[in-house]
Amino acid sequence: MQDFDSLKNMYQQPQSSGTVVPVDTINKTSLNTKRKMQKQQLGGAIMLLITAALIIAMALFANLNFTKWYTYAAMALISLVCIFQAAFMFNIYKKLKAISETETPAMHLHKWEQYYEMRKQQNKWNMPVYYILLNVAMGIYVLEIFSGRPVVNVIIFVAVYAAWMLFAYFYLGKRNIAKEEKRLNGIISELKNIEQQLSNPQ
Amino acid sequence: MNQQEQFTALYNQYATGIKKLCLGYTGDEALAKDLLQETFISVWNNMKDFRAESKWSTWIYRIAVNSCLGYLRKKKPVTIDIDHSDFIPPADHENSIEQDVQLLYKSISRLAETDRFIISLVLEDKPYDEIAAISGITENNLRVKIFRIKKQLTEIYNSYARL
Repeated sequence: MQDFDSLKNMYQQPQSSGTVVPVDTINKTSLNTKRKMQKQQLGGAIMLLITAALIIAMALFANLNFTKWYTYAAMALISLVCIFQAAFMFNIYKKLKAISETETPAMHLHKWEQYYEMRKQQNKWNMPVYYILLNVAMGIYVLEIFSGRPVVNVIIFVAVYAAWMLFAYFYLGKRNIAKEEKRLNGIISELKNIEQQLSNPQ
Repeated sequence: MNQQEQFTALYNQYATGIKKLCLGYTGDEALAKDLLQETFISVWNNMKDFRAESKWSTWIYRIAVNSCLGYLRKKKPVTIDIDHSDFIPPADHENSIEQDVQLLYKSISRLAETDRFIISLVLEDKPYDEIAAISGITENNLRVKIFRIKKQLTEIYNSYARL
């Protein structure tokens, strides 16, 4: 039988194995988890802005010779959707950046909990809205491209495209949203549990 | 002292203690090394914002605790079946001590998440006011908690040691 003081002596003994890694092996340029998440959001936002800029540049300077105004409107809508989505991702990036590792554990956990609650709410509306707007814009864009083409070709294209989109939205999309919601609920409940441990005087 | 020199000095001073804290959290050597690395990456990234409102040790241990709590959120702690783990009879005295220490880390990793870092700091003989500053728990609450955790850890350790 060991008492607590014996355990303390044991803990304080110098370790004969499993020593710490040398300081020069710590790669300070590598990313911790939070920074990886930040980089992912910022990178995604930048890529979307580049996409929007390219589409706008094409519409203005590429001599596309579209005759219908709504084709250009569709290009503008696609760019706008990309810009809004970029702003959305940039907002997530800022929220992540505001979570500091140097705060007290309770505050740190609380901020993570707020972040995941926000993601949960956004998960419900962001992807469906992004998806529907992008597809509406794509639908308008191809109207002029398909005009004058053989009707059968147009029907085949529209049928395949619509079938894929419906499958992606109603099957893959819904399944991913449900999976993500389950994951977020798990994380939030774990965070609450740890927060409760901290606030409980016992 | 430039940032690199200061970082090296901090690492040399605190890495061993932080590694023990991470070992208590995970009960696993490789994961503890990952968390040590993650902690010191955060130390490097936040060093410029350190305002000396607290001690370096309080500040660094707080980062370590937050890194550990972040790890627990992503992965479940490694569960080790003590009955079937590699507790072979010790060949000599030194090995026996080493195995006792490993058993102690595994016992700590069985405690509730926040209890793990509190007891690791107690085992390291950190003063109560510093533990309170690291954890953000009032000293009075901390004393009650520490009394309970000490008892719980001793029971877990002794129950495993009997096996």
